[in-house]
Amino acid sequence: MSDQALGIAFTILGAAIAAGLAGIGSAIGIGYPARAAAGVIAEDPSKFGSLFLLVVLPGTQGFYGFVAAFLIIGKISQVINLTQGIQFLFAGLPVAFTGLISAIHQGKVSAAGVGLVAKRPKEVIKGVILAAMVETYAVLGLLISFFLINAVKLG
Amino acid sequence: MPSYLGVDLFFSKIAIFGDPMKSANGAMNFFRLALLLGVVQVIFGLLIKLFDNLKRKNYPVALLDTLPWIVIVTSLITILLSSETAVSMQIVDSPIFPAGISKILVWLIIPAAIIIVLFSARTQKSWGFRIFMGVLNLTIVNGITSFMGDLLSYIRLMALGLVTSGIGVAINSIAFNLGSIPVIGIIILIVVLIFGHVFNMGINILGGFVHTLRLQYVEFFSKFYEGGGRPFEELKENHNYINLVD
Repeated sequence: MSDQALGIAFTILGAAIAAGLAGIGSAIGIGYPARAAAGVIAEDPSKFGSLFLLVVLPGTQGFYGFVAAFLIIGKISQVINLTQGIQFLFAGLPVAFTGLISAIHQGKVSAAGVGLVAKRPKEVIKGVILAAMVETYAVLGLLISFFLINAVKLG
Repeated sequence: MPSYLGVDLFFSKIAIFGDPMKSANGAMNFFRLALLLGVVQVIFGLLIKLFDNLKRKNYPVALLDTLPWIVIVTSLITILLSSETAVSMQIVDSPIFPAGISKILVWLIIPAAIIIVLFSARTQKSWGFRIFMGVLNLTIVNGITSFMGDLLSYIRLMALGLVTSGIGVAINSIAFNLGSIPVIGIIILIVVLIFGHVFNMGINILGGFVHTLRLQYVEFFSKFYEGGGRPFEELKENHNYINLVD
């Protein structure tokens, strides 16, 4: 295999890991509050609106990974050697890992927030803020991935 | 070329900061704007605390806890923006003040820092512990590091905008790729564009709401807001054995 082909393969691996791991995290993360919300809705269907907010919150990490992967994909055609490919692979890692872990934990916090809404429906915003505290680190991971992807010297 | 929904039309005239997806300069403008909003809001929060406590004649909190921090934060930011470090980090294009300003401002920072070390833990009885807590207050506990964290936290605004524009560009490229299919392509194109952008706006309006809310509660309110109290309970009869349902 040529140097360029290997570089492109590693670039694709970077994009795949970024989108894949962050997406896995979001899928697991949405699972927790969605299951809890189903139980609450069984008792009181009118709470669906405020519960929906908590259920979709852990979904954003998947989009962070998606955007990072999309940025990497946009540069595939300019990769000419192995080093650049490995650089893109590493640049995708921050958003992949922060997305994976933070989405799962945000899901747990959101599930606790669902319990909060069940008892005190007016306090939904506090549950949302607690969940948003976890998301911070996925946002930071995306930022670093973005700057790293832009920092890779092409050509 | 700046654009709206990834299409260069009328809206490109409004997008004065440049396109964060296409040019590194556009992204950096976004970055600076987010940080600037953070600096403005954090200092505004501190000013609210200052004037609130002055008005309540709570002078120790106003003059010993709040004013030194306003002096330290504004001076440090001015020094940073006047240094070559800020230029190499692309925060500013050129230093806003001559580098000599740090020699003047340091004489504002030192007394303010001494006030915080000596008086921030003034409820403590023993002086040794009081100074120790003062140093902690200056550095780690609600100190310089926490202010730095608060300011950097505003960069999330940039990340959220980046996600929105990134998904928008992705939707456009998917839609126009599918649009090249003959005959039914144009229908798929329209459907993907409409659903994609509506979905993108929905999910990112939620994200923008949640994260700005967090910035208000965590970064802004913590500067001056003191919670407490208990919820208002209206006067009504409380029955033990009957429950009136309306």
